[in-house]
Amino acid sequence: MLKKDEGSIEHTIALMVILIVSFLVLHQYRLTTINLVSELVEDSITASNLASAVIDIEEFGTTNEIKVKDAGEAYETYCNALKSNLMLDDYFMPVNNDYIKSNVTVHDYILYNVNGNDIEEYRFSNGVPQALTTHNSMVGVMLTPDGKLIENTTIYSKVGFTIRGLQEDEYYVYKDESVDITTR
Amino acid sequence: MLNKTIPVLTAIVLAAAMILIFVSWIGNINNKGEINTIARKYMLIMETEGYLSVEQEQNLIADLEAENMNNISLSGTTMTEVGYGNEIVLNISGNMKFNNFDFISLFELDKEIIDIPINKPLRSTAKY
Repeated sequence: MLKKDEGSIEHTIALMVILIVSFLVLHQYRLTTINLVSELVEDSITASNLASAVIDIEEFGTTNEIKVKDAGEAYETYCNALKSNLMLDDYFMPVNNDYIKSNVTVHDYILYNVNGNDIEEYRFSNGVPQALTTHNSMVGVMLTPDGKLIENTTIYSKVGFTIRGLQEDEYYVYKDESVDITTR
Repeated sequence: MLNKTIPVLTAIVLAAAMILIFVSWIGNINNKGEINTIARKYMLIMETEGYLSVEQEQNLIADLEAENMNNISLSGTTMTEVGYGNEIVLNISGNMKFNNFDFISLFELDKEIIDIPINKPLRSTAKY
């Protein structure tokens, strides 16, 4: 008489436990690393915005107005600071970074100089300077692209780059930050 | 009965070992993140003072050592006062102690402490 063999579900359970825990551990590790890269990029953009926020001291001394003197110089200072803060080479390619997989592109750098109640907008799109735009009586009304109200001279920037995702796939992501310059 | 429970117990032990290794990895990542935070803090101080003073240098080194860094060098950092709008640089380099686990056998983990080189440059402009 044939006898049916006993099943061995315990082997299956053991394998499932190991596979599930391995998957969760690797997934969480990758997620934590991506969050760290995100924070690093955010900090670097903010620091680079602040580095370029050099005001015209003479103007401030005479009129008490906070304005950045030279938009072109501010943009150049921003780019140099960004390269240093994100450890990029002269072509904005990351050096020794496992998660940023492409060059970092500065899609937008916008300087909003507050002049009385008006806002003078100096924009650099993908490195190309755009024509100056003046927004009359827009102080306290106009917002930066990341939603901050412009009440003082403000610098906004947005960068994009390719990042390695959770499943070894790649995504193009954007990060933007704005900082304002006040005496308070 | 024992034959049935051994595979499950083995799986639980392996899972526990993986979780232990994972917790140590996360600790290493968090330490690295702390270095970024410390660098940012001292760069803000340098922006308002125009340089890294001797007192702040010592505070910075103490903060980095508290995050398991050693062989700390601040070579290239702006140590003399610069005027408003001039470039200031903070350059932190050194080694950080990371916990590293290796499986010697199925039930044996070897923990070793390894030195990973860390390099954190920051650039800004003096605002004082």
